[in-house]
Amino acid sequence: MLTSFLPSIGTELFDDKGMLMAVITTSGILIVFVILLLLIIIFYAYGGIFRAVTASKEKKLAAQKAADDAEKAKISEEAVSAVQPAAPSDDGSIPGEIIAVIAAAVAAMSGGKKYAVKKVSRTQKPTGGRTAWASMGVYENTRPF
Amino acid sequence: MEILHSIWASILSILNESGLLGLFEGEGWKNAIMIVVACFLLYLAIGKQFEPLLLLPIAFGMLLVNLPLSGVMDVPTTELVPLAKASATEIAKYGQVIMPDGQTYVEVAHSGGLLYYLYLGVKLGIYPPLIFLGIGAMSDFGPLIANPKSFILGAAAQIGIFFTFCGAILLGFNAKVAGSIAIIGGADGPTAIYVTSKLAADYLGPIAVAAYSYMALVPIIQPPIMRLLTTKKERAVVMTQLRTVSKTEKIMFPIIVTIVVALLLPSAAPLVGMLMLGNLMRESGVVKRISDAAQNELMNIVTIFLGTTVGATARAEVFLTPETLMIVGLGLAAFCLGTAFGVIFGKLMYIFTGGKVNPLIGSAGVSAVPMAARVSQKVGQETNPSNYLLMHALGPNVAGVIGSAVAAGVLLAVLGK
Repeated sequence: MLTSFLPSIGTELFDDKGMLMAVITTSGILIVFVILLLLIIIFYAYGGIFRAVTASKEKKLAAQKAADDAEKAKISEEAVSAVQPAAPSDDGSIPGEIIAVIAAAVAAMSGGKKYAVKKVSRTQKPTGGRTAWASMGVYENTRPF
Repeated sequence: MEILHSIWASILSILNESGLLGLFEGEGWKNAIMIVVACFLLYLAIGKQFEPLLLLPIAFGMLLVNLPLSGVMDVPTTELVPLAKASATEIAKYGQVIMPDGQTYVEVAHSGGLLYYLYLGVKLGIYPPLIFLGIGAMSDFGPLIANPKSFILGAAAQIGIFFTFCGAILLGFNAKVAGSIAIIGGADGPTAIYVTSKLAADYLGPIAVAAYSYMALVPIIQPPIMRLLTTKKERAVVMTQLRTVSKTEKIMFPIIVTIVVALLLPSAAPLVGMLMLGNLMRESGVVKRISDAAQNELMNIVTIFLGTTVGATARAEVFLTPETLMIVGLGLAAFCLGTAFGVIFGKLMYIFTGGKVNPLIGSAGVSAVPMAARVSQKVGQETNPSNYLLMHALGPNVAGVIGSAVAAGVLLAVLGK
């Protein structure tokens, strides 16, 4: 028990105000910090172990998935003789399907007018590395507070 | 004419035995003041919604106990009635006692008031740990597990408790009362009640009212201190997202904390143990019914008993003293110091992590879950509207609950001897 390290608190200590304040303040702060620091160390170690275990599992799963994908691709190549190319994107970084969805959204908002999507480019991510969707999610989750 | 005289005599007799007369006799005016104070607290709870779940029963308990002759907190007593004067029922019920003087008496027992019996749950230290059980079942320690550094902020915010202890000693309080006053700085109502019921039960009323009042005033007290101690640049820091915590980690957390804290500081075991039991019931997912009961029915029932009986300890003769004003002042000092030390340690973490930690989350270390975390979020968004500090602040916030329970354990271990 940590408090057993303290000097014995007898009535004589209670009589000396200065000593009482010094002992209680110093030992109190010290014990609270020691216990919570110990918990920090334990939970850092514990978190590290969990992350290592999880990473190892994920690595195995990824390797398994890659092997499965390779096998599937091999089968697909044999089964499909010709594949239509994906819809073109502006710089190749955005999949054609996404551009099609964006074009459809613009069409829906244009009210029947003719339009042409000339360029689709990525905007800079907001600060903190959170996307607009992630920010919206956080906003929704924290709104009750 | 004789009939009228009898009616008048009976009316006078009823008036003489009524509580109304009690307000004008002796120190009855003090009760009248307490009734006004109780009504003001009821207004704060209902009209301003300041911690209404606790302030309302506390204020009503205060009202009940200060109504003269209500007898709600009367202590059970026994009375020796000479055998000749006792009724047959009393003799049959209580039996006869022969006293050393050779006379035979009947020891007639008078029951105590309702709130006296309910108050035993406070006096014996039963209600606060049960409240902690409910808090544990409602708390998510995920942010703390994801960022264990938060424990530092939970510890830093407890420093105010120990400095306030010194202030209380210097103002002339004895060590046990000073410890009870100082724990207000933990901003944790059940902890304050638990420590006070063990160390200085006579001061329960003023200390509980001060503790819950300051918890309700967190959004008013904390922001000026937070702004004063931080720069705009520090307040604008956007913290990186916390890692995902697995279910196994969340299940292991309450078990590990209980073992570590209870082994090192057994006096903190009732509070920390119940907090962690509630959390284990929540995270394990195998006792959903019990977890729901702890969060709802049990929590609500205990809150009613705790609030009403603590309020009923605020009798005029205890509450209307200069010491109450000193307790209110010291409680405020404890709370402000706790907030300040939390922010200062947040600043230290800001410096040592190269600006990755927003110091505003430090103020949440005073517990008062989740109000203090909300305040960190709100003050952070004043500087940067796209900043979401809530989850980061919840780490120190729940660490503060553990920290205040540990601080309570220290005070009980040292002063409770």
